[in-house]
Amino acid sequence: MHGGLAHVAIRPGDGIPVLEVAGIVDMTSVALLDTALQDAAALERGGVIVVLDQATYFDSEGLELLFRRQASLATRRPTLRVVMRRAHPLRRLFDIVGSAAIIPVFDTLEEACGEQNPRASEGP
Amino acid sequence: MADPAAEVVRTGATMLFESLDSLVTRYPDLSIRTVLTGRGARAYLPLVVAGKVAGTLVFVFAEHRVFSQEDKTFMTALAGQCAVALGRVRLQARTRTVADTLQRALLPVALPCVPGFTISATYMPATAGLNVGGDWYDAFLLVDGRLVVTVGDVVGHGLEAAGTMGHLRQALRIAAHETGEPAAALTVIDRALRWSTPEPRMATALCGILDPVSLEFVYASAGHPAPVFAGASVELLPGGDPPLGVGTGRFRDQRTVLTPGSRLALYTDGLVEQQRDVMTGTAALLTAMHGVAATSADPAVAIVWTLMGGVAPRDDVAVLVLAVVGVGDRLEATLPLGPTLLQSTRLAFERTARCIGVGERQRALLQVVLGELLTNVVEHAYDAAGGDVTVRVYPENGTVVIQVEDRGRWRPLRADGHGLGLRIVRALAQRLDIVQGPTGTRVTFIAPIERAETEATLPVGPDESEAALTPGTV
Repeated sequence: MHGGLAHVAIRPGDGIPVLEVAGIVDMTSVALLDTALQDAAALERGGVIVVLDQATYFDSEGLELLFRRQASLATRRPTLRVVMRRAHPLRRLFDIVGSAAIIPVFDTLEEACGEQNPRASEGP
Repeated sequence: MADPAAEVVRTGATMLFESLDSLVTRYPDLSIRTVLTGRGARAYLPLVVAGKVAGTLVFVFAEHRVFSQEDKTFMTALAGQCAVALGRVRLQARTRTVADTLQRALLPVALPCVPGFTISATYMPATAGLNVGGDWYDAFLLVDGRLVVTVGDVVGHGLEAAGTMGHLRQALRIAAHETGEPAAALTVIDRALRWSTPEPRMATALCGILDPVSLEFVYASAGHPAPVFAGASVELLPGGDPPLGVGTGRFRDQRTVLTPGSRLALYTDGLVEQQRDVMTGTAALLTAMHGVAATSADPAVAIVWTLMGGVAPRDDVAVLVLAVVGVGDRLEATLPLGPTLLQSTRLAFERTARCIGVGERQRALLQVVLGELLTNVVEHAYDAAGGDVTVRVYPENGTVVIQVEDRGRWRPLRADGHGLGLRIVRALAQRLDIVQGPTGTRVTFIAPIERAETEATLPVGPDESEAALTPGTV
């Protein structure tokens, strides 16, 4: 739980933008993630991948943001994808809120990059 | 006008009376006290300070007297001298009041609330001369929830020292936020102080950062009196490096681990130099840390009063006492809503959950439960005026209980697609009770403890209350 508020970095490159999120994503820091998501989406490179492996805290504020951004990206393909290793304690949150039908969650970045046709829908 | 002294203040004119009879003739209502001072002559001269009559100088003679020109010249000169002295005293008092007011205004308005810990601090200005100004104490939270405490002492006194103190205290806050390490923060301040204008100043300071989970206290000292730690025994912790503004500009982080029930005192030298014998003063401080500081509701004030011996301090005194009062397998804290609420509560929960034996995986999920409940209070319970929230965490029959209680108007966590919080909290709960009443709402979350086989449970301190926390109704 140490490590402070969220740190979001956009991995440079020509492919799909990858957001690497570390630290705490809560009501006080979710705006950082939102700004980065919008910046990445503005690149218009076929979607965004959000890597949450280094997130130490992630709650409904972050989940709702991902759902909202997924909805706004829904006209583009492929859209938002999340990477969180299966052993991550917070991976269960995605199962609880039933995100699988809306935002695909992958175990590794490689799997997310290799996914050509992720599913998307209007909301949770 | 029944009093010649008051008339002189009003008119600014000297009044001479050759005998008591002539005085009584003009002022028949004189007080008996004035009459009893004798039957001789009286002279009333104005004391003029900065162009205004500040008072009256009264001469009472034993005998009847016809005032000569020499008498008048002498008395006028004496009144002039007295007026100058009076003006200096008044200026000094005014300057001292301004310095004292400035000093207090530059100290923190409030100290942070950290669950499991109490912070008590006090500043007492010197009473003699213009010794006020230059000492400070401070306590604040970093964004990661660690607690920073600082004390310091700017060389010099008066308004200038008080002003420098204000700058240094704030600068040290920024440096601590930026660096996250005491020695690095002092290095930044030292550099700034050396390059300050019009001339460099010198100061001593101690900066410490407490991790509320591990209880590790990391500190660096720049020529400052050594902190006193009172745990199983009372001891002076190692001192530090040269003061700020001089010396090598290199500072070392030193580490110690606080224990449940322990206290840590940071202070300025005025506390232990009251008797002009540092050894005696330090010994008295060690005794006080074992005695009054352990039993008083305000340890900092208790220590100052004990060491001052009822005498006002000759030099400024600033004292900060950090006490570990409630870290263990039970957490109960009432905290104001504010920017540090979520993170400081997270750290307190982390330590409590470890003491209970909750495994790492479940701790991460229960942090989300606590966060969802607190976020709802922050967003919905109160209006802009704010309020506070009480958090309780404790083990009960193989379960862990998380209780969040506010005194505002609660809105249920929405279960629709835009409110995922309740869905998460319910999914992780064995039982979830929401009790709403006219004075607030209490939410109680209960889940079986999932222990980790490979993770050690943190020891519960000897100070922990055995009294069980019993949930009630709002």
